[in-house]
Amino acid sequence: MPIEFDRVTYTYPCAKKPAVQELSLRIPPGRRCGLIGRNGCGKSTLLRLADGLFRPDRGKLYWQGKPLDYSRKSLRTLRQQVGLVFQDPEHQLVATTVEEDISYGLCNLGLPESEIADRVQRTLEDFDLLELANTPINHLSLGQKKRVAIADVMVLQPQLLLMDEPTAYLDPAQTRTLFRRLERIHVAGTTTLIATHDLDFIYAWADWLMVMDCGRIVLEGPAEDLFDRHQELRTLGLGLPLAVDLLTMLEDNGISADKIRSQIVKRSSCEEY
Amino acid sequence: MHHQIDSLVYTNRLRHLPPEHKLSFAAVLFILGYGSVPWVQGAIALWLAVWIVGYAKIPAKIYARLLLLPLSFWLTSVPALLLGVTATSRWSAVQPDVMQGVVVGPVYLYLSVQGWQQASEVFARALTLTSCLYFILLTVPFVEILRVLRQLRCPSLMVELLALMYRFIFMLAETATDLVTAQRSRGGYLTWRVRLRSLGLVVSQLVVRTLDSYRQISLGLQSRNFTGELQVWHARRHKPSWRYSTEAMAGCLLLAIATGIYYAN
Repeated sequence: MPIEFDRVTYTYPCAKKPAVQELSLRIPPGRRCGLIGRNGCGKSTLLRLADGLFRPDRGKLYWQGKPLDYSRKSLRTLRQQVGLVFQDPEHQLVATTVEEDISYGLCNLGLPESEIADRVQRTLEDFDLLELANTPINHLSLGQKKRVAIADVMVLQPQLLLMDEPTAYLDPAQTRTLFRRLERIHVAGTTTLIATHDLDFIYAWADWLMVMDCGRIVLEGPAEDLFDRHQELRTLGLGLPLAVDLLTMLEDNGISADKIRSQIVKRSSCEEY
Repeated sequence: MHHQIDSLVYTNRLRHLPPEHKLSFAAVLFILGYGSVPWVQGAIALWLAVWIVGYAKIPAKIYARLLLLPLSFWLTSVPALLLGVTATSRWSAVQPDVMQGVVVGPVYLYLSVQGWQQASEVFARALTLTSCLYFILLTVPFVEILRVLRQLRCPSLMVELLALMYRFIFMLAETATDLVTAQRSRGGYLTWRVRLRSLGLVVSQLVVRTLDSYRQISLGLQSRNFTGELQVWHARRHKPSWRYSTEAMAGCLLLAIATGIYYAN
């Protein structure tokens, strides 16, 4: 069990209502977890809590079974093993060129230069950034910045990858590339948690789903089961992924949904369709 | 314009040369240009134009426009250098310095010979020294200047500040442009009064947004294990060129000899 929340409450300074309330949560290891909920329900706060950026008012966080004590050393280890990709890449990119930015986290760990060089090179290749290696960050497009932000985090080889609205600035083609990249990250053994309100993306990608509302987790379980609870999702104001809506309509007309579902998942992961 | 210069630097044809070479070349020419005679200064400015437009392939039009900048500063200072004022009764005392003069009541206004000499010296020097700076600005990417500063053991606080400024000035410019565009689309700049109000709003909004960005970025830095120092690593990709090095060294030597001869006489 990589990370666990135990009745965590967090209120932003000067806010009237807590952003996260009495929240308990376990992120199952090795899964593709989706965290959905409407805007302002506390998804981003939850991710920031998980990265140790905010300290809960009440409740505890556990990282690999041990309670997080927020000492400098434990935060350092935590952030080495938990990677957070922010919604807006601008908030994360600090160095001047792509290559320097990717090396930044490695330099903070005090690794020897040869290892830094090696890992930066491999990450540049993995994320198709070789040609952009020496380009200044301000010359990149938003999609490219997003790619660099993910590379920044993945170069540290985290055990848990947290992503806040990863599809927010991406066009459909970039979203499909992201999908494939996430698939590779998953296969390599990294647990991933994606917070989003892009239901279609999460429907095709996640195998474990958590639904948040007003600072709490209200539903949790395997994605297929959760997406079958149409009425509950609708009352939470989330609605259903387009695909589920369609499938329901087809099913009502007597066409097998399982077959079509597998087709949809396949479609999202291939480049042309 | 700033953005344009930044893009030009990254595509200039001398980019592959080691930044140390280019910086020391410009520094040597800067010192020579500062102390030398006008015709050597002219030669330096011309030679650098060949480097910038000919070798680095920076469009001549843009370079010419950039050179107009020091020229306009020079033009604004010319009247102060050139014009002399004295009481009409004492006009004979300044007679040797007068190029052309006119009496306006009790005051004698004249164009000064010495002032003219000074103005032309300032012109030659300004043109040469800005050419040297433009050579750096147009052929050495800012990032590489920072790396050289780091190598020269410049205090890391200063280098980091410069790096962060370079990183964020574009974000600031973008935010400001977005705000202005948004206001424009709603008629925010139609009349003088509305325009002032809109500008005031932009300034206050920029402060608010900058503070917000600052908060987000400090979270971003924390999440990436910020240790108090911005250490980064980069690969070395520069190739020294025998051809350019020879031309640079030979030229500098010639100019130094010319200056030396002038001072010897």
